[in-house]
Amino acid sequence: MEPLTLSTEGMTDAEQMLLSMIFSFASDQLTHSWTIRQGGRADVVIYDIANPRARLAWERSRTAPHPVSVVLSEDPIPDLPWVLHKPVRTQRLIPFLNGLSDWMTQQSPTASAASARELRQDDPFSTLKQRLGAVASARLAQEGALQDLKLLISGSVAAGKSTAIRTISDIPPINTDVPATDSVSILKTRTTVALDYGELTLGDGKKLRLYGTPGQRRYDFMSKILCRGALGLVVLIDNRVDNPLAELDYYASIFRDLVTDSAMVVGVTHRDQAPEPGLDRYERRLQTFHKPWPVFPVDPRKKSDVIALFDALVTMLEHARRPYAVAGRP
Amino acid sequence: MPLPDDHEAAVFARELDQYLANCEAVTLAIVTTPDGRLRAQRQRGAYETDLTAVMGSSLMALGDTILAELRLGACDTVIAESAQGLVLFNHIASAFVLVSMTQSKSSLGSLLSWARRTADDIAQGLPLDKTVQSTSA
Repeated sequence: MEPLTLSTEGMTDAEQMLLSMIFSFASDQLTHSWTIRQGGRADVVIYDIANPRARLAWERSRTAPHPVSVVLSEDPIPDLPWVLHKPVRTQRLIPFLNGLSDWMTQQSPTASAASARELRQDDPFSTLKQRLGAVASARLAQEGALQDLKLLISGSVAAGKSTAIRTISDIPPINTDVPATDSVSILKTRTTVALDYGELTLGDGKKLRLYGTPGQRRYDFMSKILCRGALGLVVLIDNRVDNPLAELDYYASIFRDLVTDSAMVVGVTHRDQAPEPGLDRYERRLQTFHKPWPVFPVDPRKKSDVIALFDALVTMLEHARRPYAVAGRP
Repeated sequence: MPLPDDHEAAVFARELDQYLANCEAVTLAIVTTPDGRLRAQRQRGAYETDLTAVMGSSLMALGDTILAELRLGACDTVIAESAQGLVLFNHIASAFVLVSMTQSKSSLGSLLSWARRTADDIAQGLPLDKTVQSTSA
């Protein structure tokens, strides 16, 4: 069975991006496969009725049985079966979409959960690499001389940057770790002092280069060197530190030049040891930057978690209205 | 941040004083931990030393990593050269890094020799494992 298709009317870019990300990274939490349709007829249309044009379109289509109309609203609307409340949140969307797809499956007996599961059996790592390859090809056409793509992984000390690169790299990673002699030694015995390096082979000879920065702030000069030419940024925040949200502010600040024109995703690690602050607080803080930067819980030892982060980053690059600039390039 | 113990501090002070006394070309000498914490310095100027110590640790680690990648053994010295001078980075056993600077480009040989001797003398004054640890995984 084909995935259910969804289109939107009046939703912001950030909200649409969140939908795309959920369809990609949280596919294992969805009971059905979904895809966003930019044009043509979709199975479901989400209307943000705060937008006058979207409200008009909803008014015209609300009585039709197909497509299924979903209203996005800040206020409860009685007597409407499918109302998605603002602000759009991951925790809210997944059960909503599952309820909707289950209801649609009951309405259409041909819909088969088994075939939906079949669709999800694709290797997510291969899929990610294919999408990265497509981004690379587009960027090569744009940049000409750019031969490889480069992503930067930065963040707090002991957040798991080296581990994330080790988890996902196709080559044995290159490390520059030395014994820690200061307070970091409480968290771990060794610490990165220059860089971590890994690679993803995308096919056709293209490579995605993964650079990890040292986490200790005295090594921020390395971050400034390593971020040159990066296509995007993954920031890992250790939730055990005293003020993780201040850490988030810090990395958004030092990579301001990179992320203004590029893509950034945030992974929160060690939540099993420090569950607070919750992801909702990260989301609220990220909203203050007025950028569609998503945040995910991450265990850097789990390949699926790291893939989800990269998946979100690629989704941002794919959904950029204009090609993202490459930091450090005119 | 723990302070170096008295014995360690005394060794650093004695050997760096000797270094500057014996090698006229050296204008700055720094001892740093492999993770970039400044432990001692002597200089004939007013150079910034904290960040130099941090950068020195990065370069030493990169030197170790590159040589390990190329299977060329442990890194003894990293040399950074410009039209204005030279900076050398040496291991002090496996526990510290010695950063040496000169503004005399013709003094590379002298600086290399005295830097190695100073690194060895410091190492002998400290209870260290002299095996240089590779940083490459």
